[in-house]
Formats: sequence, structure tokens, C-alpha cells
Amino acid sequence: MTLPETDHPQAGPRFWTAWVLVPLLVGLGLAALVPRPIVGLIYLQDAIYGFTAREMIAQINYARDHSEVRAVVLVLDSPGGTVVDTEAVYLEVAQLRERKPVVTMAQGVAASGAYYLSVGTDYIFAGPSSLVGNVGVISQLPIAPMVFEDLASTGPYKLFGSARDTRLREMEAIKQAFYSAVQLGRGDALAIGPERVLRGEIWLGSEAVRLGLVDELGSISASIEKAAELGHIANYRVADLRELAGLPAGFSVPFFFQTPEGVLTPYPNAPGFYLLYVPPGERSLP
Amino acid sequence: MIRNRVWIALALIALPLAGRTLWHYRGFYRPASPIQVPAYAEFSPPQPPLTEAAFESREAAAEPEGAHAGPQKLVLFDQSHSNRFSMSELRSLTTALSAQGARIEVLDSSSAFDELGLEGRLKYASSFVVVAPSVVFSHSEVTAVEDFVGRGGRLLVVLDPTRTGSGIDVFGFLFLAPSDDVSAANQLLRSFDLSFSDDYLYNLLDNEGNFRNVLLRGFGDHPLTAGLQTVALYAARSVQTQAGTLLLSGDSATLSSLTDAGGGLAAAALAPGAQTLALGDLTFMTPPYDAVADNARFIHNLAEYLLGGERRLNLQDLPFVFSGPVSVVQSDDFSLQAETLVALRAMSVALGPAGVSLSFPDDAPSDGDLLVLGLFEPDPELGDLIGPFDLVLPANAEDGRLGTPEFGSVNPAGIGFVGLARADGHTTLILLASDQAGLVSLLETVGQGLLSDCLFSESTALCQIGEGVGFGSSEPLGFDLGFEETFND
Repeated sequence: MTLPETDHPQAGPRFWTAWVLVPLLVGLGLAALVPRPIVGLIYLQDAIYGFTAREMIAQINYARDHSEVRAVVLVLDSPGGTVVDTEAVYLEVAQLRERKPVVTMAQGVAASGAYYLSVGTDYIFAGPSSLVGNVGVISQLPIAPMVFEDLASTGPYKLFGSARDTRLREMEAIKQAFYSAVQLGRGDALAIGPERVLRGEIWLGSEAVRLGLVDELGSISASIEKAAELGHIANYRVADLRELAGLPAGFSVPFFFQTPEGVLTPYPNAPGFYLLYVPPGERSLP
Repeated sequence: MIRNRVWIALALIALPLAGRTLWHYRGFYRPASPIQVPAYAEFSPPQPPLTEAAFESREAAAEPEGAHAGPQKLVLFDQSHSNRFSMSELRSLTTALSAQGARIEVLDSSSAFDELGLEGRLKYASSFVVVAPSVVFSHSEVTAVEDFVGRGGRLLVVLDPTRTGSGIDVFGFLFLAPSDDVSAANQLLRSFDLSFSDDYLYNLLDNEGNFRNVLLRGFGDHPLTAGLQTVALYAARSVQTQAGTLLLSGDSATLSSLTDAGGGLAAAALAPGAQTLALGDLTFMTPPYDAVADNARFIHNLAEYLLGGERRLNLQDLPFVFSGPVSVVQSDDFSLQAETLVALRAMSVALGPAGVSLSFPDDAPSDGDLLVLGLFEPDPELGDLIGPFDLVLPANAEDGRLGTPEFGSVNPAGIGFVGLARADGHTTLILLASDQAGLVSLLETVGQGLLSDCLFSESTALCQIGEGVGFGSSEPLGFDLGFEETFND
């Protein structure tokens, strides 16, 4: 832009200051208010249970409430967890996706409940040897109702929650919802039907891509780039949402059962419904 | 002029703003499609096909049926092989059996080693039921069961993949143990062309509330499947047979856990001859699953099957050759003495488990089962009863020996004769000896079923009953070996 100095004898320092420098400074000042976009990372490196679910939801809420967070990557390395906590996080992710894209990086294990979370995101990456899938529900059935002399209750299932058969059938309803989430999330990409998905198999990432359970093999970097692409941002920064949300680090409560000898088992502490992958062969009788 | 200056100022304000915005933001995020989540409210726990008809079927299965009026048949349940079930779990089956007039006896680990044992009890049982054994059967037990089935007894072997040694301990650890039930059952079934697989059936697409609860709608042609449309089994092992009949088969989506393949897999099969049935599930007989689909009807059919066999009792089943109350008839020259009464009492006690009682009428009844006691002496009253055996009594023989068509001529001293005749559904057992002491001894031998010192033909036997001349003596018995004989060991 050139200013016609000859026509504007008054174009002296005041002119430049008032009509050029100040607006430019104002513009720069306002530009500085435009936040640098953030791709937020939410790490899950534990089972999904009350504590971890609360932490995840806090980070999801932070991402939803802060405009500079333009996309989110779930970095999953989890065998799953409780049904209620998995569903809670899943629904929060769904709400977040109304505003911002969410990409999954299945790093290590994204099994059962963790895979449930991933199908609720826009795009799923997995490592070539990541473990993915294990669609299904597990639960230890309650014992048959009985009465005790010194322990009273007001109903036959007050102490036991439900009949064994009822628990089994409730599991089926949970499984149906899980499969529905897989169908809705994967859509036409899913190359296998329920007779295969519901077997509860866990697949290598490379196989999961072929089966349409995940979209692509890749790394965290690739998943971040994909999230940025879906969020239509560039020159972004990557941030751990745990830090942004001000969550304390390194604190957790025990989810898995620990033997009196101090051995940590892959089994949860409390009975209930779980979307959990329990590695087999922990112990066998001679 | 001023307007131009304002535009310039605004442009200078907007320029860095736009530059930075475009530097970072290249568009607006729009969800690719409406974000959908499962319609959770629509997913309700599947309910079993527990219909009114099912209850009616269960009640019908428990109804007494007059068609089975007759001698009570006994169903022997095995609990001597560390079987992983309790009799209370089989209440629906035992109720159906009792309703059809059957008696139930349980062979537990203590009774398996008493005088009768398994072999002795199979002599008077109509059918033998083995459920979830975890200890293999001995060679002699297998032989006894094979003999039992070969002579008309029916064998039902039930396994259940949830009744293995595997489980979860108090700390929640899975512990895995070999499926010993399969090896135990298959050892017993080896000669019957039946075998279980160490698997379970499952169906992910069409099941009864869980993938391992299979709905079976393929039925083999046999009265066991009469009136069935759907049977629900709750974790079932698959069963194979080469020449037998597959009774309950799944569709192509019913798969084996062993291969994850399916097509024609069966959870129940009959051996050739239909005397032995292998069934891969126990749970369907337990409440509340016994009232699901046509399970009650199937249990009813099972009870009929177990009572439908016709035992071919022969002398090797002594003393359990009777099918009803027994009248004791003795020859005129035979008087009841204390020793005889003791022996008869022992015989009565021995027959107790078979539900057979002894009576002593003044005259031989015209019908009913008879136990005839006599000496090797001509007796007009017993002539009609002994006649069919074509015996030549010592008094009528020139050499004073006992002549039998099956064994030839034998020295009667120390020998007892046993004859078994059947006519019009009634059984006559004849015991003859040379003297009263010998007859008492023969009565004891037969009553205790101690037949190791006997030679058998189809309907007669000669037993050593004393220290005199007999099998153990040096004097030849003079047997004519022109018959097919059997040593009972």
C-alpha cells in the first residue's frame, strides 16, 4: 500500500501513527488473541474404571470447553474395564465429536472396553502388532440365592443382586449394545459380520485393518496429523490434556486384584460386568 | 478522504488477524455424519422361550402314566466316579421316572465297593445313568456295562462342559484342568460307537440368551425326539457316532469350540441298536431350564427311553432274574428247616434292592414268578415245572447219575442244578440238589450271586455246592462238552 504523500501534505508522523501504526498494532494485538490450535492427547494406559474414567471425562470436558483444542487423540493402551465407566466415557466422546474430531491411536492394547471407546471416534490407528478387538462382556455369575442365620435381608436377591440366569441375560444386552456401537462406528468399513466380531477374538493391528476394525496402521504422529487434518488446522501444537486440565499425575487406585503375595493379577477386584480382556493361562493345575 | 483512511486502518487491523487465523485454521470442523450412539434403551436382556406350553409340557412329564403299570423298573444312577453333579439337579428327570413307575437307586462310592457293587446292581437295573464322571471306569466295570447293554439294559451317559475340573479359585484365578469327564465317558462308550468331543457347542447368531446356550432343531428319527420342535441346551459337548443316530443337531451356525466350525454337529446321539444314549448337556434338566422350549418334553421322552428297554435276564443275573413277587414252592420230600429258612431269608434280603419279595403259599400259584426248591427225586407235583428241562433224575438213571441235555451225565453228589424258565412273562427258577444240605448251600450260592463255581448254559447251570464229589473232586463229572458253556467269573 502506498500513500499519496503529495496529496496529503499533512501526512506526517501523526498521520502514520494514527492511521497506520496504531491499526497495525491493534491488528497484531488482536491476532495475538487468536489462539494457536491444539491437538489434545488423552492417554489411557490403565483399565477403564471409576478413577480413570473420571480423569478421561475431565480431559474430554476440557477439550470441549476450550476452543483452542481443535482435535483430540485418544492414545489407548488398555484391556478395557467396567461396563458403566466405559459407556460413560464413550458417551462423552460422542458429545465431544459433535464439536471436534477425535482420533484413536491403539497403542499396545485396545481391547474390549478400550476398543468400545475407539469405535466411538472418527478414525482409528493401530500399531502393526497392537492388540485390538475382544468384543464382548465378562462377568462372574452370582451364587444361587440362600439365606443365612446371622445375615438378614429383605428380598431373595438383596444380597446377590440378581439371579444367575438374569445376570447372564443382562450380559447379552450389554453385548448387543457393544456390537451396535461397533456397527455404528465402523459402518461399511467393517468387513466381518457378527458371527466373527462377537467371537471375542483379539487381533493384531495388521489383521484388524484387513477386517475393518481399524482404519490404518500408524503411529501417534500419524494420528495427530490425522486429527489436525480432520480439525482443519495447521501449525498447531500438541498438548497432553491431563496437564492442561490440571489433573494430578501419577495417582491411581488399584483396579486389579493383588494376591496376598503381592502378585498383580489381570482380574478385577470386584465382581460386576466388565468389558475387559483377561489374558489367559495365568494358572493351571498340575 | 477520511473514509479511505478508515478502510486502510481497518485493513491494517484485519491483516495480521487474518494472517494468523489462516496460518492456523484452514476450515471448520463438521461432523461427517450425525454422531450416533447405540439405542441403549432398546437392548433388553433376551428372555427364554418360556411359554405356557412349556409349563404344560413339564407338568405332563410329571404325570403318572398307567401305561407303565407292571413290575417296577429300576434306574441306577452312578455317583461312584467322582461325578460332578448332585441328584437334586436331576429332579425333573427322576420325577418323570418315578411318575412312570420307576425306582431310583444311586450307586455311590461306598456302595460301589460293597458285595453287589456296580456289576451286581446292573443285574437288576433296567437302565444305567452316568453323569459327568471324573474318574475312569475300571476294565471290569466297562465289561459289566457292556454286558448289561448287550442283554437289553439301557445306558445314558451325560456330560456337561461346565462340569469339568476347571474353574475359578477364591482369588479369582482361572485354573485349568484336563477335561477328565470326556476321557471317562469315552472309555465307557468306546464299544458303543459313541464319543464325546472335548468341546462345547455355541451359536453367536441364534441362541438362548448366551452364545453357549444353543437351540437345536434338527432331530433324529426316534421316539426320543417325539413332539420336539426346539430343545435348548445350556453349554453342551458335541457327540459323534459313525453308524448310530444323531438325535439333536444344530444348524450351520452352531459351531464347535474345538474347531470354530459347524454343520450337523450333534449334542445327543444314539448308538446303533439304540440301547445307549450319549447326551452333551446336564443343565437343561435343571430348573428353570427344564421348562424352556421343549426341554420338558425331551426330559419326559428321556424317562420313557430309560424305561423302555427289555432286559433279557439270564442265569448270570442271579439272583435278580425275577420281575415281580416270588412264590416259593418246595417238593414234598423237602421240609423247611432252620438252615433253609435262614437261606431263604438271605435270598429275600438279597432280592430287596430289586424290589422283589418272597412268599410261601400252600399251593403253587397258577401264575406269577416261582422259586422251586427240590431234590433230585421224582416228585409228581414238580414234574410239570421240571419237565421242560429234560432232566434224567438219578433215581431214574441206571448209573444213578444226573442226566442233563446241556451238560450230559454228572455225579449228583455236591452238585446243584439251577434251571430258569420263562413263560407268559413269568419266571420260574428251579433249584435242585441231592439233599437238603446241598439245597441250602445252593440257595445260599444263588442268593449271594456267587456263581464262580457254576457252569452255565442258556437256561440251566450246574453249581458246586459242597466238598463232596463235584468240580473240585478228582472224580470226573462226565460233562459232555458238546455245548456252549460260560464260566462266570
